Amino acid sequence: MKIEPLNEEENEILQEVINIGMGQAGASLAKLLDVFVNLSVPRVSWVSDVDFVDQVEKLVEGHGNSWAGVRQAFYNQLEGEAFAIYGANGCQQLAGLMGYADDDEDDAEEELLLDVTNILVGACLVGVAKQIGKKLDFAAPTLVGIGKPIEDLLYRREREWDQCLLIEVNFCLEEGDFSCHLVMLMSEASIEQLRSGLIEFMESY
Amino acid sequence: MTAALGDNSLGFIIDRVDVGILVVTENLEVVLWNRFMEANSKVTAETIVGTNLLESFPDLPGKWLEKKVRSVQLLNNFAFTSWQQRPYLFHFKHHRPITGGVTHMYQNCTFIPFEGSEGESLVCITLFDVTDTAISQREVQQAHADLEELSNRDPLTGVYNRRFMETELNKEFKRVRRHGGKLSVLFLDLDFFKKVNDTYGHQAGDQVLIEVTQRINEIARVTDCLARYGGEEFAIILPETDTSGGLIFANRVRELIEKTPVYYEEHVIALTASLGLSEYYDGLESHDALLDQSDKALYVAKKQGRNRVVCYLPDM
Repeated sequence: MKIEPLNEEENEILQEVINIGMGQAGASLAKLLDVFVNLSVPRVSWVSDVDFVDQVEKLVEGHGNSWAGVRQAFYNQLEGEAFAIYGANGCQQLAGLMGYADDDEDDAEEELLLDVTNILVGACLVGVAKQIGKKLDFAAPTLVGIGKPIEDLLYRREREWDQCLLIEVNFCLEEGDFSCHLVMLMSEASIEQLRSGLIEFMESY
Repeated sequence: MTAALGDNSLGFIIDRVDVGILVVTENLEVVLWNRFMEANSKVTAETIVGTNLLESFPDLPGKWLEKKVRSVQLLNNFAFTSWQQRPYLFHFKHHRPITGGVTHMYQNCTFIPFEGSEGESLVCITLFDVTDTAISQREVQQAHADLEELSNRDPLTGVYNRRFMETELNKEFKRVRRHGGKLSVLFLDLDFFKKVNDTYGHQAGDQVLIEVTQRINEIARVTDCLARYGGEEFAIILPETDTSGGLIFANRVRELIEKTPVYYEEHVIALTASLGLSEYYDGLESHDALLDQSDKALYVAKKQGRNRVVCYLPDM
């Protein structure tokens, strides 16, 4: 299937919609945790199946093999997969803030990673989907690895697509060393939905 | 969701679907409790609806649950738990009273925020029984672990094989090179082993190999790694061991083999072994070089008349 990529204007609106969505996500996270959350300006790009892993490594500036990753699928009118990539410090710092303070087992840390990912992915993508009037549902997040190089977290294997839309944003807490790269990949199949949503969004202004 | 079905029918389906469904308020007061929950918890909807969930289930992770419910309401977003990290939310009995193998029901849960008819903030919790998935995953993991263990072993003697030993030695080599420490490698070859095979048959030879490895393992430390390098040749990695320590061990092995013959059918098979020892030193380029040194020392031990231990010297 050959998909017409978004034109310049559509790309601009997309960037705007994503900026707003991420801002809302940051705000709700801040509200939940009662801390200040900083986030980078989201970066939007098209990636091909060939350079997908390299692109993500570049965005995350990720070398070494001490990354943790969680994958979460989203589906319905927009579809794709999101990856949350955590550095060596994981998100232990959030344990107390998320009500995990009493647990100190490995399972608790894993669950915390899943929880934080679910919150970030949900907040970001629901924010985007709502603005462009599209339905969105989520599968449960799953752990793809702890203490691994980034390429291992992204499944370097035969892919069934040529191009996909990549959105990357970096969250960190104002105090402390928690940081998380959120990489959201939208498949070709949802580009037409995305386009129609963006056009409607634009016309509503 | 649209329904041509009336509320009665929907209520019936919610009650009877094979999934646990409960609805709670932000204070964890129970609003809905379906039949799956009743049947598995033995707590009826009648008794629990209108009361605090933690009153009937004091073992629930209360603080965590409150945070969870609050976070889904605040963010207005689903949340999930998976059996892999949290085996269960409610400690229910499994549905394998006969076949067993588990101690409780494994559960995946979803937390869904929604607004009640009066605008109140509610959370629907669904609970899936994933015990079968958990069991099969555990079996697969066990099979993987068994296979991995098997692939590291020599089938005849059960000691490690050469491939595993070389991987381990490489790790040890890198460890001492980076962090310092001692490391020795001992090579062992049974003297005139071919004669054992020729005289008593291959089964006798196999028995010899099995018993000799058992004896070495009995006096080796847990951290030493004994491997069958090939035929009747064995390698032993000795971590945290220098030449003098290695010599003591090597001579104990040599004496043990010399004074304990192997009994096979009516035969008493006397044995001796030649051993070559070498130690890691700064500047040694690879683990292969270390193996090579021990091999050279072993060769010298053979040449000098067998049944002896020889340490590697640079001019060998």
